Amino acid sequence: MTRQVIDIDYTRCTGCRACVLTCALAHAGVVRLSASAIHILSSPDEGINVPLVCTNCKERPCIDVCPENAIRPHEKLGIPVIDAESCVGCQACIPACPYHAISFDPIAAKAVKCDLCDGDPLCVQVCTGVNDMPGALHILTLGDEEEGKFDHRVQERMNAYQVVREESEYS
Amino acid sequence: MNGKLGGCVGQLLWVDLTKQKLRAAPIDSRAVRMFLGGRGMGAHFLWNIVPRGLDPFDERNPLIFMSGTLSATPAPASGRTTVTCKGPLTGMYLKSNSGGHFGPTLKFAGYDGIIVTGRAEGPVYLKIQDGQAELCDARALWGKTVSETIYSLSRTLGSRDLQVACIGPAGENRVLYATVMLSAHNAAARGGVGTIMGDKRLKAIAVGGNGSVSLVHQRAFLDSALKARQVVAKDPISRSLYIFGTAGGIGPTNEAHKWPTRNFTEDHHKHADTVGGEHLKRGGYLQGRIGCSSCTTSCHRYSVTEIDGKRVACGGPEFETFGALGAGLDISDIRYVIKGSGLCNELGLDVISAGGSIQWAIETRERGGFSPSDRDGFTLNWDNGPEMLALLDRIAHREGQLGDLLADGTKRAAERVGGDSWKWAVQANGLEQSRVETRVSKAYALAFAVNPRGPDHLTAEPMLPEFTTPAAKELMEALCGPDEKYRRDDSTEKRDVIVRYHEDIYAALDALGMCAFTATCAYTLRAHHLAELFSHATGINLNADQIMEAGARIIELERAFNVRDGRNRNNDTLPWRILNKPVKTGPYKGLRTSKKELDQMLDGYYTLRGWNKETGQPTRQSLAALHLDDIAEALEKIGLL
Repeated sequence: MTRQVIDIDYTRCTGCRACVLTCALAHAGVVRLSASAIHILSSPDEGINVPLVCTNCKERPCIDVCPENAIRPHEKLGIPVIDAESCVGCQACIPACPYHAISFDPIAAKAVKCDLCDGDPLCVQVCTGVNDMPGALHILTLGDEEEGKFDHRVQERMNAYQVVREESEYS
Repeated sequence: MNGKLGGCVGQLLWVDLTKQKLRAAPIDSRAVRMFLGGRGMGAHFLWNIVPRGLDPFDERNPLIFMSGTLSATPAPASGRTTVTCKGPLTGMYLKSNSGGHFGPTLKFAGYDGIIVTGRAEGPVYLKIQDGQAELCDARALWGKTVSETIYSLSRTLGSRDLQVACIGPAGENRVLYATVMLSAHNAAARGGVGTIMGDKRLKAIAVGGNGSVSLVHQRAFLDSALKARQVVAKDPISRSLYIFGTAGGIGPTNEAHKWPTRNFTEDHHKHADTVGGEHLKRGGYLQGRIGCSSCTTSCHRYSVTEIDGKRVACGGPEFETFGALGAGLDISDIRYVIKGSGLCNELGLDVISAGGSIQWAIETRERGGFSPSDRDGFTLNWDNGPEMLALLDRIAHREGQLGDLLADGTKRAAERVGGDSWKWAVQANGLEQSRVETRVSKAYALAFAVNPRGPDHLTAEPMLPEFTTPAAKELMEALCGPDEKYRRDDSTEKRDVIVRYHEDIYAALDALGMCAFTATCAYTLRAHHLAELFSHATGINLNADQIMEAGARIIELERAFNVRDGRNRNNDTLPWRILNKPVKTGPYKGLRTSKKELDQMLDGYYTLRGWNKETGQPTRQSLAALHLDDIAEALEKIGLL
């Protein structure tokens, strides 16, 4: 199975959060921050914005750690998807994800993660870029030779995440 | 409460600071239909709350924070917030609007808007988290700068998603042009909304929460929002705004000798190549581009440099910042504009009025209006970056007699200094004019003259005549027909039609919480886009004409507010220098906007609006056509109709 991913160039993210609002609206039917499967960590002092969303990784610790077997690979896309019926909201999956891509929606009392919107993610669609300049989010189907480059970009983004995280430790 | 109304959360928070009372009340869906939200609702409440002739410093003067009806949605650039009150600088209607994420977050905290009246005994801040509102002691915050205040509240309240609206020292010290900052970098800047916030001893409003915003037709809304985003993002002007920011326009403006320099005594800044938006990027100062909520353009900048080995950073600088703190002071080193911009944000000063006041002071010194003892040791020379920074600090703290003098703005300062100094106070009705060459750009001249808050560019950005993008050309032809002569920036013909269009759509955008750059400047979105978004979100079906009509209704109500206080055609004017002193160089040499020219444009404009040509006041017919019969009655009772 080929690996579909949301490829992120965090240096192009302006922190507008259209992706966050859209994801929540499309999945929960209302705009609520905790209902979104994509989040942005922003550092106004550095002008850095780091989007966080599922990388559709190979290791899939979220699937392994779920005691209810509520996270299962999507038939077509392979991405781990949370079955809301089965999720009991224990939150074991949240720290298990190395990419900080699973969050908890206290209103629904369920974990939330990306399902790739059937292969045409809305977060990517709203991240239009400007004219000939691309936005921060792109959908990508990875061949073997591209995996290394993609993983490298994910690592760079995680490094930026650490920097911003440490800077905002007051939270 | 009308549970069916989408887009809005459905409730407003009323805060009486004198009685320390907080009260939630439902939002009236009929008012949303009439005034759309945001700026429109602000004007609606202001009219209802403020009695005729009220002193802006009376504690009954409300300070109204309204999110846009489409804020917290993916509608393009939809996160703008309007702050409304009676303005301390002009004594007239005042709305001041800012981008950022405050408005959407206010909705997630549970409210569409906040209406603050009264005055607290000591400094307080208002905390709203997940629907719970509380007034808290702010003595420890008093005196702090804007970023210190935000940092301190974030630590105390412990949430990263917190958004803070606050004042800096300028608002505490009654500087008449203090801002309300809606983040460390986003200012509701003009006219002194921060002055009123300070007068109420309200240091800050911190909002946060995980509430839900519902839209009536979500799928259809999402489709419309996606389409609208594509349209805005494709536009070449959006592209330019993204790459170089608002200040990218300085190069061509300067080349055409339309870039006000040295307090509007010149129109060509010899350092513009290195003191402007393009140089921010090319010179390596641009650190990042910042998007307001759901923005498709990201014109806002984050810039970094060093002065004397110390890191200097700011949000911006914008076009107007370069006008006020750059060309206007003939600054040759861009680093001082970056630092000055950052300092104004920290202190809570409006850059246009602050820069305008310093420009006036330098010209006053040049013309012998100050004795050495009036100057507090300042040389008051052009191109003196360090002195500009020191003066901004003095103004914000009203320190020394010069700082105290300039903190009142150029109109009052000129009254105190006397002589002819009022002639180079580039203000009308008390507000320092935006740094736009209104002697040349006649559409701007008209728009500035009729602006209910004084001469500035934020109720209409009529750049249309000169713009050559496909969207701009199409709109220009729709408004004025194909004749090329109307495309001249210095033409006075059809300016009434152009200004009315810009005012109406701008008011609608402000009400929806959307940025003016989506439908003016980048002339991509039209009223039918707004109608679709509004209707799908709220469930109130309005068509394109009705959206424009609602925009016109907001303009009419704002004018009625000023008319009730005795304002009339005489107030629709421009600074003396613009009316009387011609441009000295370049292709527009000899040009000014004479009183006669302005009068002609005003006649046309009043006729289009259906207003009384003698007085510039709304008529029974114009008010009735916009379903403002209650306003007509109120004006009639006091003999103003």
